[in-house]
Amino acid sequence: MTTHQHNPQPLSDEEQALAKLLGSPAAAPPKALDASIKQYARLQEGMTPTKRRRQPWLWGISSTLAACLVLMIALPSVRLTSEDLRPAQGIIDALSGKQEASEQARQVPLIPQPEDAPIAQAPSSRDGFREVDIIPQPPVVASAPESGVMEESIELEAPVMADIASKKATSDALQIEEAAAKPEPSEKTIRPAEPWLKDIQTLAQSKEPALRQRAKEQLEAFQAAYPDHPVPKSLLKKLNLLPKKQQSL
Amino acid sequence: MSPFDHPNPTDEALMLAYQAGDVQAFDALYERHKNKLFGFLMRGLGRRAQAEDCFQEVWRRMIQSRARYQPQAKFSTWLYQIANNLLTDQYRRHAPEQAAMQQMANEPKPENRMSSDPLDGVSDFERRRRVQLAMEQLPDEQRVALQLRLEHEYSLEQIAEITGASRETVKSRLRYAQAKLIEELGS
Repeated sequence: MTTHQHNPQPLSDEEQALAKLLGSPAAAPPKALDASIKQYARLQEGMTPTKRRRQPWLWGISSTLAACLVLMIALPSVRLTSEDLRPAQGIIDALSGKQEASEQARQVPLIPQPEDAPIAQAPSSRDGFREVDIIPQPPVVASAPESGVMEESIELEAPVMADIASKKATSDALQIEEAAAKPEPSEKTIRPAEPWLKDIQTLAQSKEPALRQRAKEQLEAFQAAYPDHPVPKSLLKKLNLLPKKQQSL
Repeated sequence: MSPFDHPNPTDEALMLAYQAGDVQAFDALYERHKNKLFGFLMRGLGRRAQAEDCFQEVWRRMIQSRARYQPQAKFSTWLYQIANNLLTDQYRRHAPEQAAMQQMANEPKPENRMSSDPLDGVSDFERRRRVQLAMEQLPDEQRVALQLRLEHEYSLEQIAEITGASRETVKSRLRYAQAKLIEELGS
């Protein structure tokens, strides 16, 4: 709007005469048009754009607050880390022709992998999880090296050797105890000949008289059970069961 | 403060009140200006149906652009600016039709209609009819300027603002228009 109010200029005599002849058009808009225009004005006032003009400062403050709120909500969610940017950077480098970058882009999965997915909490036994459902996997056993290789390649020192000797003596004693603990064969359950004889030999190696006596008894029982089975002369010799002449030999 | 607190509020006060949401102020403005505005459009367009359409459009535009109104401007000047813009559009749209009417108007008139003798008993009715016919035959710019001057008594500056012409141009248009009317009257 650039119009300004001006002082009225009265009509001259000539103008007044012409105006009188011309008259004013005795025309009025129809009543329906009046009602229509007034109704339109009311409707437009309902969606008035002028209300903002009343308190522009209030509109400005509320707009600023709304913008700040949106920024506060949006900014933390759009913060990107270098990890987030790696795939995109790889793709950009690949498009620009860098071979290494494309390799990197291929390695970094764009789609989340199963291991990246959150792990569901396993149900407890109270939740109906049955322990029998768990199939135990066999433990991984490392293959032992061949004994020959060990003997050739490893030279053991004296303290180690002494330790091994003591362990071997302990092992022998254990074997003797196991052999002594084994029950004597009954008529119904006769032990196999070879393992039985081996146990007797183990007992015979002992220096304790009780065990050696036990070995003699076992040997008698063995000979009773297997009269035709040969008995090693060494065993008889250890138990002093050979004739005196042969025993001395 | 309501403009109706004053016994005779100005157009500008009513317009500001309507701008602030007072619909009654619009009704008052409308009642004040509807007849003169409709007469202005009737004179300019010559057909009632066209005048009604144009009248409705003037008020629609006024309502839509009420936020842009500033109290430094006289309300009637602003309102007639809108009306004149619409009239100009109408004239451009119907230019061929106007030209044909202009040609018919320039044809020789019967002798009995052109009496130069002021004592031949020409009635007031005939004089008015001649002025109106002469008015219709004026170029659009001259007719609008003369109409605003004679019917609304606007100043040259106001007519210049409404029509978008300079003050001197308006003065020239008025002089030519009046000369033509006086010539038609044979005075």
